[in-house]
Amino acid sequence: MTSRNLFFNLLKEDVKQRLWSVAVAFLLFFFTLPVGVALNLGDGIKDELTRKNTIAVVEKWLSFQNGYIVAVIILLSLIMAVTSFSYLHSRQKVDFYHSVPVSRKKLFWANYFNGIIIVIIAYAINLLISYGVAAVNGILTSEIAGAGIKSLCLFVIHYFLLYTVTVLAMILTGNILVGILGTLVFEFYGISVFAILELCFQQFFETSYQGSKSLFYLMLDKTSPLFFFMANVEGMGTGRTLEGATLRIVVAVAVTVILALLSFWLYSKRGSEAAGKAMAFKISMPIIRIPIVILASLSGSVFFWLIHSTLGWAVFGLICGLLLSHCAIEIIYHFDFRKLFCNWKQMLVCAVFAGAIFLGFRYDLFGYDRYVPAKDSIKCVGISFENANDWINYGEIEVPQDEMDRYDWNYITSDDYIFSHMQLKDTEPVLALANEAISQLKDSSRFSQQELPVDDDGKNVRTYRFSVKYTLNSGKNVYRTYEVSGDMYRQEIVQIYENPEFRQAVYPILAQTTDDTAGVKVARGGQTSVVSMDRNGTDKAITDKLLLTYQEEFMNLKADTMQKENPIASIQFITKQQAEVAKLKTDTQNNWQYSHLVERGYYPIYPSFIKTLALLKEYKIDVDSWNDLNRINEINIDKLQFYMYKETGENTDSQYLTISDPEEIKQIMKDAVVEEYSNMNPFIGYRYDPVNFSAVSSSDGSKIEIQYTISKDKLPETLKNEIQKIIKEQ
Amino acid sequence: MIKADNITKKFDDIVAVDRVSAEIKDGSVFGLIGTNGAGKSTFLRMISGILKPDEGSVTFDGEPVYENEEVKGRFFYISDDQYYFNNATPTDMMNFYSRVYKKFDRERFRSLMEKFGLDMRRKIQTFSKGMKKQLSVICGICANTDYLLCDETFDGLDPVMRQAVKSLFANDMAERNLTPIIASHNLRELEDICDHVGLLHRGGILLSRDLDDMKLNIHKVQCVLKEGMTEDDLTALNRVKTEKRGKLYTLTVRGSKEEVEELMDSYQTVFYEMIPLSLEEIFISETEVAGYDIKKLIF
Repeated sequence: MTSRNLFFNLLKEDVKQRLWSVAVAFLLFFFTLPVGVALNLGDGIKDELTRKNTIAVVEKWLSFQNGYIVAVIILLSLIMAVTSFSYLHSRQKVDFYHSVPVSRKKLFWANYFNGIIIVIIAYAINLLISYGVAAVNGILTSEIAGAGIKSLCLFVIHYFLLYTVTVLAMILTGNILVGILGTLVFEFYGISVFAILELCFQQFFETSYQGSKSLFYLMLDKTSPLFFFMANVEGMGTGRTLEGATLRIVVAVAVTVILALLSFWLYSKRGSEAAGKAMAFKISMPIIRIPIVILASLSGSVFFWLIHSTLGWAVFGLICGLLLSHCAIEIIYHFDFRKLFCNWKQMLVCAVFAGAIFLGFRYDLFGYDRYVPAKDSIKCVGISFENANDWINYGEIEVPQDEMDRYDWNYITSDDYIFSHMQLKDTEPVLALANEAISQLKDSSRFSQQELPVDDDGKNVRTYRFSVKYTLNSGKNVYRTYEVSGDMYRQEIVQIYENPEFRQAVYPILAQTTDDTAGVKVARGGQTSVVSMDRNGTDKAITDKLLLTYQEEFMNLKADTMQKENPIASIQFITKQQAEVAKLKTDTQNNWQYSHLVERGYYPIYPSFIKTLALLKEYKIDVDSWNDLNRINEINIDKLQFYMYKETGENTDSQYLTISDPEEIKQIMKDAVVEEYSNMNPFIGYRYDPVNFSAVSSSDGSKIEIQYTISKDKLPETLKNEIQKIIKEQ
Repeated sequence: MIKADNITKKFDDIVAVDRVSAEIKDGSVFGLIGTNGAGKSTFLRMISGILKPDEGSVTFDGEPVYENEEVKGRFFYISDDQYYFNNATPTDMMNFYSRVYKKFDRERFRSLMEKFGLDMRRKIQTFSKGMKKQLSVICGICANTDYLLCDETFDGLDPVMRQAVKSLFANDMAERNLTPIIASHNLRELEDICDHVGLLHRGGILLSRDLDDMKLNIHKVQCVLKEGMTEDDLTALNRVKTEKRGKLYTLTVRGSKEEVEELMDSYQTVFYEMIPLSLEEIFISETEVAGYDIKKLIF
């Protein structure tokens, strides 16, 4: 009998010994694939209109994004690995298999590959049946066939990875339950570490950055094969191309090969006497236990610190985490209560280590908050001011990939957009701000109840929060978030805002091209007007001219101007995709579905945008009325805004405080800001005690009402007294 | 020939087998005797390549056994609790063994199954403990290997089956020079089959001798001495043990049969008779000499 024959005989025998797992694999795939496809078909294929949609549904069902198959793959990887190597956990079986004239090498690979072959065959057979179901219904397209084969390959690659992780856990342990626990450790330990570290960063470091580039999110799919799989499923979704998808597949295969070889090596070193013990290798016991105990101790201390921020409770939490985890693991290891503290010295080392980590965070022993890279070591910086860009819609329209898909907005956070576009070479103002923030941080007592900073008049001063991305010469990116209080017109902030590189990176409109612009709309006070639409050559010329003019004026807008004036209207340069969606919206008479897509991308028009305003006027937009205070007949201040916690029904007076004196109106309007655009100006005067009101103007016999806002201290004295009276009467 | 050279096996802090050396000659029956926990199973598991000795080596005709398919194909190991596949029938086991043992005799397997009254198609999990033992022996015999390693194989067999199995061993020893190595805690089970016996105690080997050598060199004599003589007068006899009931002495003495008979004749006893010693008695005597109370060790 040749070795190869023996190997295949072993495969055959192994399959016979675990027919139940073969049946489970087949049934799971049967109900997920052919039955799933049949259920998805429904009556859709009969109707020519919905046929395309049905084909898209089936294609998606067979694709890598089918969550049911993902679940089946995860479940089967566990079942197959456990059944492949559970014999190692029984002395009776080990004696049997290791006494027959078959080398451990052959036994390992026969069992290892069987766990994979069974799944591949079960998947492939059911995929063929699914194709059959589709063919019978006349919808077996090349797209469906391709999606099925592609997903089979991708799922099998990831199944290999998850399966091998559990195989490794089974070989390292001598008990099935401990083997499954081992798999959980491999899958979740890494992300637990980074979750706790992230929590510590957030809790203890004032300058830690919490955006999508945070430690936890960065490491999520790098520390766990399971999350790597999930990330790939999400990333390789239809319509989205995952950057480096091939690289990720290569990584998955490489990690699988490394883990499989490691498993084989451990298998060959594994003594048969390990069967029935918790851990097969004595040396692996502290290697597994110590990191878990340290993590549990640290988690305990952080947990109690979150409830009561005192060192006493943190120590209590550390002791709880330490004892619970250490004792639980020792019980699992020895199945003997008397050996709970047989490694007490190691337990103490864990406590010291966890305590040191906690104190390191608590007292910032490593100077995280104080760290600012040396100027010479910085290649460039990016800075994103919190809440300054909330009005900008970062992202793009997601084009549907198939018939059943819809247009959607692919949202990108402001930080992600800005940090991926901004590379400021002028680092000085950013570093000055960062250093100022750190010096303010040193002055304040960490973790004490801090009062809001006030100015000389006892008023709260403005506080800026901003995040910085330092790109070092080494290529490393360092992220920090700072908070600085004080004068809102800091020279550094002005410098930053007036840097063209900054503007280009923050405002996507400045990167928009005429080729990608299909029309222009302006809006003011809830009313929008179409300035131009890409219908003929004339309109296109208007659109292009307006875009270029607006870009020029917006780019040259000085901070000084923004401090003096506020936007009076907003303008939208409609992208070609938006126009496409708008057309679809009109064609399908679907007035709601895509509204959120076509109404994005409005930018402010300042009174000083003379050229833009002139062009708009030229194109029949009544821009004169925007600044004409004479048209305002009355101002209505809603009294409800002054009532705190009081039922409005009890008031018998009018709900509004109406001002109709033209002089008083002019005085109020001088400092008022259109509420809708108030957040578009980063240099707008901070409104202490804002008062909101509506200004009513008449135009061509119709009434227009626009919402404004103003600081209470800018109101005329008589009005201030009246408001004060209302408040007192409550 | 199987040679265990100074092999040691530890399980954590417990020394299961401590520097044991033994040679098992082909064509003989090697009995491994010892109490529970003496290290018999561990010794056999090392011999069969299941366990790797921490120290020392196990070789079959000079070839190491551990991870050696060729050598492993020369023996069949019957565990004290033999594993059978879930829901398997004897036919399934026959099929498996015939795939891994080159010379597995399927015809003989069927024939022996019939002779032992075991159903080929019945699920093994429904077999009694004794039936499972019989099946394991049949599998081992039919594997046609040079050596058969049996761990407590006779435990659980009724006397008739025990004899039947012994006959099978004897037959194969005669026909194809089979070498059974049998571990047991029961000395009486091995008495009529072993050629060589090794006594294990607390992981170490107390003695390892050919049974014939032991039997030839020790004898039991029952005698009645003439008036006036006492046991102290039997100075020339190498007495191991003396018992007296009334005037009847039962002596266990060392030396060849001829030497003992000559000495007894010279004492002019009223009556004497040479009585054969059981294996148990030989062991008692031998181990007592070594300073051990064998009754505490084995019985």
